[in-house]
Amino acid sequence: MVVLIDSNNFYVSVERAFQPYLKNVAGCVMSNGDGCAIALSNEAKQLGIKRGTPFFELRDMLNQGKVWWRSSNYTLYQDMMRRITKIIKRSFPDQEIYSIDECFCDVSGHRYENLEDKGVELRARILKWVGVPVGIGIAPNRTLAKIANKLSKNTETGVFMMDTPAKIEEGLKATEIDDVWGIGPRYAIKLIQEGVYTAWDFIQLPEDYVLKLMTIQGRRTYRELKGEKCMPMEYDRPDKQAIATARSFRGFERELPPMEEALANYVANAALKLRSQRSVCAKIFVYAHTSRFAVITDRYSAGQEIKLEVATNDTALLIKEAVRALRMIFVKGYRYQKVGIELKELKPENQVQSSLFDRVDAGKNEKMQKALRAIDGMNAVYGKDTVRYAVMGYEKKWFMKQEYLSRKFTTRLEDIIVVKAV
Amino acid sequence: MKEITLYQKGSATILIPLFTERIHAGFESPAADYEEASIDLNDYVSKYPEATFFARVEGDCMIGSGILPDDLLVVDRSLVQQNGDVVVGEYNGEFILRSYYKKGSRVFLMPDNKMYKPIELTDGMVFNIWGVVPHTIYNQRRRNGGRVNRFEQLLR
Repeated sequence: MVVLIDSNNFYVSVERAFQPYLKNVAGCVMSNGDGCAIALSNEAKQLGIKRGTPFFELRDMLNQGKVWWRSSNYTLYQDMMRRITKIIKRSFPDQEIYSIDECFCDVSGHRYENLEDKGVELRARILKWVGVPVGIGIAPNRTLAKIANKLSKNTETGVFMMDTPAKIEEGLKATEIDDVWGIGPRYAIKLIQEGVYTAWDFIQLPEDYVLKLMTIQGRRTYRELKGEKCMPMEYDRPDKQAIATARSFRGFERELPPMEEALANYVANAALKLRSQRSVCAKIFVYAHTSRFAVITDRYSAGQEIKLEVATNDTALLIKEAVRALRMIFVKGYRYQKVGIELKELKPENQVQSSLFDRVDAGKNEKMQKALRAIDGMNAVYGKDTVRYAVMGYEKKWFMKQEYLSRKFTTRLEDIIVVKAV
Repeated sequence: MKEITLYQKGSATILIPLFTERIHAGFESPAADYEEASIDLNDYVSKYPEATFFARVEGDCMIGSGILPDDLLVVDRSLVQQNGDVVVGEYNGEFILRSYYKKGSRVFLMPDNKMYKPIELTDGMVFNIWGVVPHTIYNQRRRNGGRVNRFEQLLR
């Protein structure tokens, strides 16, 4: 059996755990850069707010105080996720962290007297220990566990176990085809045209037909819905294939220097991620564009790819190349809204192939790696960007305001909650 | 059937003591076999680090329990409150510090300072226990000034 633990409105729940006055009031958490809503409380959903609603459309409701909002506080969410994962591990040790708010546990190697009770107990513990409500779905495989998890939100206990054919039938009949994990919108449309509305309708199709209509992945989903276990757990998720950072400016930028400064900061951030997964990148892609709401003659968008001579994760080299790329695409006279970078063709650090014309000799490279590790170490201890490249600047004028960022309640002593003894 | 013992991988916070004595080549330190992990205060203040949070005190209503303004609270959310426990509660959308006191079927949130009134929990009140405070941390050096004043008076 597979257990799927999924936090309900995770970011909103975490904000509320440390700011009780946000409870029972509609609220949302904005994307990085405060562009649009990415997490909503149930009350906000009832007001008709949707994920992805842009900030400016919400402005009236926010100003009237009908809805609270916060910038996304990833440090806090990550720490809470880590805590929840640890609590889960005490109950179910074989776990795969699927996303920041979802965790699959394979319990086939264990024997439990009553798995559903164990789920109920775990749910209560997570709620008490960290204040985050979760839903728990239990089923024979991952695809069915996803369905059971969705149905758990309507149960009184917050736990739904689909362990008998009758319960599976009930679950599949209650699941619309486009809500099935692994069936994308393109196939969902195709299937609906064929008269397949629910997951139950889907498994009534002959297998050959599914294979013809979809792909081998479609067949896998089909078999899992029928109760077979086709997807193995991925305990070690593969490292990312590309790292991208981009953010909107607070207003607009017309000049090259502030854009270079912003870009350098994004590159430094991305390079840090690259080093933390012990990878290097062989290609970078830099892009910039004006607002898509600008009148057509004021619209501009361009990108430039640069293939690096030697794959690297050295911040200085990457900044230099990124700035060079930006200068190639920059055209004076436009009001730029965004600049971004993508690091591509990532590979493990130890598989770097030096170029025949490599001017960086091995000894110097090793020294550079040492220096970078020292910089990362210092920045980890003393705060982000304590040690920085001059081009990154100090003022961060270009930086989007994150005024509504909650404190780092769990990771910084100066940010912990204040308790009134009055 | 063979019995196997499972060990949990140690947490990253365990501190390994550094040898300060010089080790001569050829002779191993006789103390090497006696090496133990350093004392970790985290183990002492909480059983479950994932349920442990820290909080700062504002106000003096718990002064009788030795909790002063600005003190650091260790809040363990895994604990179930017992009679007399110091607790952090959610009350009117704020965090408050009180002692939990149950008498028969009545529950009171008690201050430990005569200047404050007890709060009795009644139906319709929105109150939740957020966590129990098993330990508090009092910064002695921040209070040096007050001590010096008292000593001055004593020695006068």
